[in-house]
Formats: sequence, structure tokens, C-alpha cells
Amino acid sequence: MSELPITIGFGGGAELLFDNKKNHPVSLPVKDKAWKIGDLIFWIKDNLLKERPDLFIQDDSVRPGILVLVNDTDWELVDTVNYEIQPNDKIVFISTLHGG
Amino acid sequence: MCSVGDDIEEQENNKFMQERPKLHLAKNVCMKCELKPNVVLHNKYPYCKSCFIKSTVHKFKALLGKSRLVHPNDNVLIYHRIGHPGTALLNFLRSGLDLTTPKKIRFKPIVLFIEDQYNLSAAQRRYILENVNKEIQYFNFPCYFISFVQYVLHPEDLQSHTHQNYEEIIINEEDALNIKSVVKKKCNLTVQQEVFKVFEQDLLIKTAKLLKCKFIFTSDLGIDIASQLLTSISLGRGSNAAFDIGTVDLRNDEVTIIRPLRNFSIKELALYNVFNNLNPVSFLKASQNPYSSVQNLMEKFVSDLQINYPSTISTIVRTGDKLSIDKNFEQNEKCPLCKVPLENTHDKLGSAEATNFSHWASTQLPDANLSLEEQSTQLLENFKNTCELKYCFACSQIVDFL
Repeated sequence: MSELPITIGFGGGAELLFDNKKNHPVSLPVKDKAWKIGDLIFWIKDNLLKERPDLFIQDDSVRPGILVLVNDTDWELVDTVNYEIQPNDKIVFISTLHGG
Repeated sequence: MCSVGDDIEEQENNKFMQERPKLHLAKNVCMKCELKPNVVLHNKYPYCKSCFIKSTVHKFKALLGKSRLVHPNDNVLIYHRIGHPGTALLNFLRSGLDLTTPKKIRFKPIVLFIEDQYNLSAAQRRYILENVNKEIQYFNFPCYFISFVQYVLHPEDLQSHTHQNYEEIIINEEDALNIKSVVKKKCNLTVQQEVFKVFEQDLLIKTAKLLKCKFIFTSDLGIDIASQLLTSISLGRGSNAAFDIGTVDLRNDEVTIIRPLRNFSIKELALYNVFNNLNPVSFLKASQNPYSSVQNLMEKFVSDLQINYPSTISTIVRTGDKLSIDKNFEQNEKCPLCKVPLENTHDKLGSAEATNFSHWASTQLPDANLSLEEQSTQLLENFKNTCELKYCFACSQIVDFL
């Protein structure tokens, strides 16, 4: 298996936790099992998140109030944290907390 | 300890309300056009992108159309706030104005931004103002800026605080301290937030009059309405809650407040913004303690419940919609702070009056020259003279702190 290239996006104020950068093209490292969004959230926490993890993660998912879109589709339609990431997916996290 | 239900079933599952069920769609296609869905609302209604945007815009217009209040060429003051709802509201209006079909919006929006981030540093506030200005310019609306702190400190001089150029807004590092000088030191955060809300309402109404607007649009969402309803009830404003939460707030004779976003959830508006490539201004808010005031607590309570029970907000809002103002009081004098009509006190004594009476009676010195019977008659007479209501019940609780 080779690396998995995807684009991660942040919006609605979530980008403030990531150096104010909205788009992050990344290559996810090789792993024996398929990459799921649940794994990605923790990878983001370890590799991209700059401050206040409590504003991004809660338990084993994103904090309520953060919407996730996989290729412009609500992640609730693709089984949320269990979605298996495909090459070149665009996964966007949007904060809906008032004012960021 | 409450033990309701314990004797019926001991099983864990039946003791509590059922949590959010797993998403289970009858058909995995858009409800309207049967294409592949992009969004699921209220955990069960799938929409594709274009049907979602259409239905969101339609929902906004339907509420405005239903209220039939705003006429062509009326000036409408748009109370713009930072965040998804504010940005979505501006986009609804701009796209409605730019239509060439009969559904075109025909009133004239004027945007008002109140600078009230006095807890942030001056540099951050400047940055926010600059970006809010950019955002409003992008939608091409006439706009006005007012500093909330300046208004609270000098409420009589509104005209001089109203600026078309955001750079004229006065920002001091000490604003957070300055604004607290209007309330007494001992006052808790609940009272403080109530007082500032009264100022905010006042400021909105006065600015609307100054700018010759008969209407004000706010960007309150379902969650704001639901937590406001619970807050109003817990702070003793229950009888006037309908003003605070209704689609229209008619408590002022000249200016009507309309809440056109009250049937929306934050998810709908956030996705609407994303699909329209709109980015609201954002900044990192200092985290607030949810237990520090009744208002904050109610918001936390409602939003926490909403996560697992997705019909929480709509249930609270719909229940609130059944409340109305007592018609018998409508013509009465109004409370000088929150402007609701005062209730008649003489009809019958409620628990608040009883508490007041007992407090009053126990702080009076009895006249030893009179008989017991005469004393109590006098006491009652004097009490009746003192209990002419000047403020509504809830405001009489906060007025001592001003």
C-alpha cells in the first residue's frame, strides 16, 4: 500500500486552530488497515492542530458543533467516523460555534 | 431522590429517553429530485446541494411573506452579528434584492454593526471591525457602525456614536472596565447580561428611529429563541416571553423587531454559507464558563440536549409559540427598562407581591399609640400606596444594580 493523498480543509473559524490556514494538502502515511475519518481526526490532532484541542475533539469524534463534509457531502450520509477515506478525497471541517 | 419510573422497569434502556437513533434513511436520495444527496437535515431528510439551497432560501422568504409586515421601499435595519447566521442573512437579502423575478425583495436594508467585543484586545477588535466592514461591502449594503461601550456610557448622544466609517469607532483598552461601571460592583453576571441586553434593545430601537427604519431584522436562530424562552421564564419574564421569542416583537409602537431566521438551525446556515463559498468573519472567543450566568447555562442546556435529541429546539420553540401577551394589559404603562406593558397589581396578589408585603411589613415600625387593628389597617393602606409598579417584576430585580 502506498501513501494516501487527500486535502483537508477548515472553515467557519476552525481554521483559527490550524495557523489560520484553510487548506492543507497532505499525504497520510501507510497503514495496515484502511484509513477511516475516525483515525484521521486523531492524526490531525497530532500533526496539524496548533491549539486548544478541546475545541476540535471530544471523545473519539469531532466536537459537536463541527460539521464535516466529505467531497461536499455531509458525513452523516457516509457513516461519519467509519467512512473509509479514498485517494484525493476533500474532507472539510466547519465550525458552527458562534464567532469561531 | 426522585424515583419516578424506577418501579416500572429496572432495565437501563427504559429508564431514560431514547438517544438519537442511528441515521436510517428510507431512501438514500434527495427528497425533492431523487438525485444523490449531499446533506441530511434533522437526522432524516436528505437533500442534494441545489435542492438544499433552494429550500433554504424558500424557507427564509416564506417566513417574511407570511408575516406580511414589510412593504416595498420600507427601510429595514439589519442587525448584523459575526457568524454563520449573520452572513447567511446578508446573502439571503442580497440574492433576494438582485432577483429579476416577481419574488424580488423590495425593501431597503441598512446594515448596523454594533462593536461589542470589549473583552478582546484593541488590535483584535480593529481586525474584526475591518473584516466585518469588508464583508458588508462585499454584499454592497449601506452600513453603520456603533460602539456599544460608547453608547452605554453616553446613551443620550446616539447620533455622535453612529458612524458610516468603521475607522471612526472609538476603541479603548480599558473598555471592559469602563462598561462595568454602569452596574454596581456586587452584581452577578446574570444581572449584568440582563442590563446589557436592555441597553442593546434600546440602542437598536433608537438607531432604527434615527435611520428612519420601521423594522429591525435580527439573526436569532432556533437555538437562541429556545434558550431565550427558558431564560425569560427563569428570570421572571414569563408573562412577557412572547415578546422575546416571537417572529415579531411589537412592544415598540414605531419600530417592529422581526426574527427571520428563527426557524433555522445553525447547520442549515453553515452549510448554506459553505455551498455559496461564504466565509463569515471568525475570531477565537475566550471560552466562557457555562455556569457563570443563567443565560449561559440555558444555552448550554439547550445545545447539549440538541446533540442527542435533535427535536429539542423545535419542541421548545413551538411550545413557546403558543404563549401570547395578556391583552388586558396591552394599553398599560410600560416598564421603563424592558418596555413591556406593566401588569395590574390590584386585581389579585401574586407570590411576588406577598413577598414584598411581608418584607415591607417587617421593616415598618409600629405606631404604639394605635390599637392592633388600627395598626394593621394603616399598614395595609400605606402598602397600597407604595406598591404602584414602576418596573416589571424582572426589571425591579435588576434596577437596584444600576
